[in-house]
Amino acid sequence: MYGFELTRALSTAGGLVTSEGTVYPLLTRIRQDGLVDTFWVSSPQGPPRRYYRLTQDGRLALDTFRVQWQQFRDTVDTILKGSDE
Amino acid sequence: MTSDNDLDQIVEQYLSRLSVALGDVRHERRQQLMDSITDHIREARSTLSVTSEVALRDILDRVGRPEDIAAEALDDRTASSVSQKTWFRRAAVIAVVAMAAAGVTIGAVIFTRSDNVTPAATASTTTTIAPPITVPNVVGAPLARAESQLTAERLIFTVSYLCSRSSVPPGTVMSQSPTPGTRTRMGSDVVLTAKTHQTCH
Repeated sequence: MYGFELTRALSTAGGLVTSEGTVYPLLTRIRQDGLVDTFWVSSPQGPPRRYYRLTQDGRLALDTFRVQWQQFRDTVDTILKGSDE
Repeated sequence: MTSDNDLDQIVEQYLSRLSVALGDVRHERRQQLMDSITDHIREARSTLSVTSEVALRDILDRVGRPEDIAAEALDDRTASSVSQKTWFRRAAVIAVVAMAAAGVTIGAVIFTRSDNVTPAATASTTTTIAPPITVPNVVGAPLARAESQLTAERLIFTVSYLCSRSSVPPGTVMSQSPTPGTRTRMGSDVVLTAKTHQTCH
């Protein structure tokens, strides 16, 4: 995906980012961390677009996050459920 | 009626506000961010069917307050103390890169390009990932169909174009790896070789 598509997708997802513009600092960051890399593709109109794709490290980070997130969610769910009763 | 010139000026104003807001960000990064956001606004404007000041203001509104963008950039800078919230947002970006089903558009753009470049030009596209998947058979299919089949399975794929004396039409998938029926690991690549549109020597 290129930058514009990506930020649109993220901002449509809702609740995650304040605005489309705030996605770019995150993108630069994860690129510096080697989680994504970028390549240029010429565009049918206008200058070339910068596309992003996951690196091997990025996939690992995603897998790790999946596990961490699940644990986090389960814990919070358990606590919330407990407070209901 | 607002002229294009006036609209350009609104964008200029926004960008200079952003540039000021990013004052504390390291020069190289600031430049990168300015470029990305300039590109973003141009892309967004090119999707408008009617250009009006209201539509442009809406685009800039979505891009967000320069101060918010700067805050995010500075938050990033203190990498050692990344807050959990930042980490979640970062993971969300990673997940979107990995999973959003934008493969079709990306593929289309890249195929057009490769057709006009040198024979055997290599292009790669990144689409999406999902839990264990059986690789479909796309050998013999035109790229467009291969693309939709793979995208439907949420697979990542890469296309190389090669010269071939075979009588199949250009753009036909000649081979694939891994072979059909293989169970793939989440996020693995399917490498396709397709016949080039170029005349071969």
